[in-house]
Amino acid sequence: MKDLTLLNIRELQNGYLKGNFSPLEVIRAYLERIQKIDPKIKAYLSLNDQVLGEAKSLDPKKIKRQPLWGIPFAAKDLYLTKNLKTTAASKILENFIAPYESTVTKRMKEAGALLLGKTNLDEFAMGSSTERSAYQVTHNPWDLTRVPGGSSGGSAAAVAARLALVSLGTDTGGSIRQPASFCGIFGLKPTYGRVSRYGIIAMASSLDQAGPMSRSVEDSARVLEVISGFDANDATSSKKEVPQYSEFLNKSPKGLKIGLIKEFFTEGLDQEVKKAIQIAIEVLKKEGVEFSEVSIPEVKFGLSIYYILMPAEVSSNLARYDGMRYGLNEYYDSLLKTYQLSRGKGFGDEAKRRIMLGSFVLSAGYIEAYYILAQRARTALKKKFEEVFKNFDLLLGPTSPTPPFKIGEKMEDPLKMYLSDVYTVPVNPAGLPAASVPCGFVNNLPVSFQLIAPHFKEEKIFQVASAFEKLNPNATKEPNI
Amino acid sequence: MKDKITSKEIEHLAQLSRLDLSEKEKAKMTKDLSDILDFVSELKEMKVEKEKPFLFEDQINISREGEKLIDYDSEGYLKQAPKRERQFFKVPRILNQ
Repeated sequence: MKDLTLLNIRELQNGYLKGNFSPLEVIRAYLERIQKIDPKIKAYLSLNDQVLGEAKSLDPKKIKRQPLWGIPFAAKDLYLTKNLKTTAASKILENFIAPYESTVTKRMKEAGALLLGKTNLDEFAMGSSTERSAYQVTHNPWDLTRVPGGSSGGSAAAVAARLALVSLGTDTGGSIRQPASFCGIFGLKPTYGRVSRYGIIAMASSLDQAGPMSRSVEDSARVLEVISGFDANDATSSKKEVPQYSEFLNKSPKGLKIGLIKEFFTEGLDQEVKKAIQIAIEVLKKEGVEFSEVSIPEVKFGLSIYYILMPAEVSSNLARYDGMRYGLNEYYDSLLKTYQLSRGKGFGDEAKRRIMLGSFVLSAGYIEAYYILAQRARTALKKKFEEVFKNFDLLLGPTSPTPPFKIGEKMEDPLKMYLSDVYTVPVNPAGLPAASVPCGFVNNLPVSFQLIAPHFKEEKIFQVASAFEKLNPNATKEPNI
Repeated sequence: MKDKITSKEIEHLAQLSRLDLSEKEKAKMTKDLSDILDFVSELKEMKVEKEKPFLFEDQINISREGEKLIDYDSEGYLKQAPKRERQFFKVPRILNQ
């Protein structure tokens, strides 16, 4: 029999319908592969030991009603899952078992999908390499000496190494797109409000968004159809109707206008990465896509806006880890000392740095100069994007300035690490949807371009990404693990 | 805007943040935060005085009826408590301190 881990969602479901194989066989194929390959990759923090039973108990009568019936998936260990540990890759939540389920994983399961396990991340999703996990370093499937990107590095590596068919990530400043790029897969950050954040451990609530990651563009479209839509438990989730994204997969991109963000193609961008993206642009031109350059000077300030607003929200969101109701507790006779010791011991360096920075930009005397200024700049950035989208259907740029870097390379200098998100970060303060689309290789390392769409226009991303994927000679290339 | 942060300010921020930091951590924090503040000071160049601070315009004052949407499993919550007594979380004394 053909290796079942090579099949996409549509192929698996066709096979199920014809009775060629069962969900149990598919889950077994994935578990065997995980056992064999994950010791080298270290994508998973924990496995769902109930998954075989769950596969067995799927009701065959529901296959036509459940859009993800029998589809194996992995979730970043930031999604709360009932009866299965959720750690956020932090020592402060080492043994935490959530008493409720995130809306997104709940919708996946209700659609018939099977959770294989929880994947590694930078602690509380703070990082760009997954090296800031308190538990393990995940390796890039294309080169084990390199990082998979982050913070959804485990989710990206699991999909790239075929240890899951699809996975769920979260993206606050690039945490889906940058690891997708580093691992050579497709990853989409939807519009802010498209997908419910309920039950996803919060980093920066006005920027966080959940999204799908997969080897094929089509699979992400099918997952997004399931996880999108209003949720009364997330006050910022949108009531806008959810389009059938998969209907846009075979639609020609002819006549679409794409703007090339001038500021994203200047110094700082690796020349080989630039070349690979230019080749991709030529491919799309032949399909009838119209390109022209557009300047968005505000994006140059994206990182600065982000590194004021995000820590401010982090300092407030992480205040809940006080060692009283759950999590690590260093019990002491005074309340204050208990807080300080529990948090001092439970949080890693990056979390501490962002909490401190957030406390600073929000403190009396500095809030105007930093936080309010950055919120004004955020308005200007969002307005500029909206103005530009009057003339363009999509915007295009690189996802990452470089191919994946070496493990350990950027750990000593936080600013160096932050700069690897320079092209992804500006999208989040504006709340726009954006995806990383694999387009080629530099020295056998994956390279991607990024597509940015107007609010709630994810279908345009699917339309162009899918058209490109069909013409990309590298689309079926596999890492040699 | 500042481009440096002093070790005294780090002490104060650690207090506000409820973080116990070692001397080594404080020294590294002083340097890292100064570097980051120096980097973000470029925001001064953006001419945004006339802009309003950001808001999600369509998402202000969202409220709903106070109806029960979720069945909370209180034992599931209490099980996570580092210290408990019967159906209570046990916490350090805060009065008389």
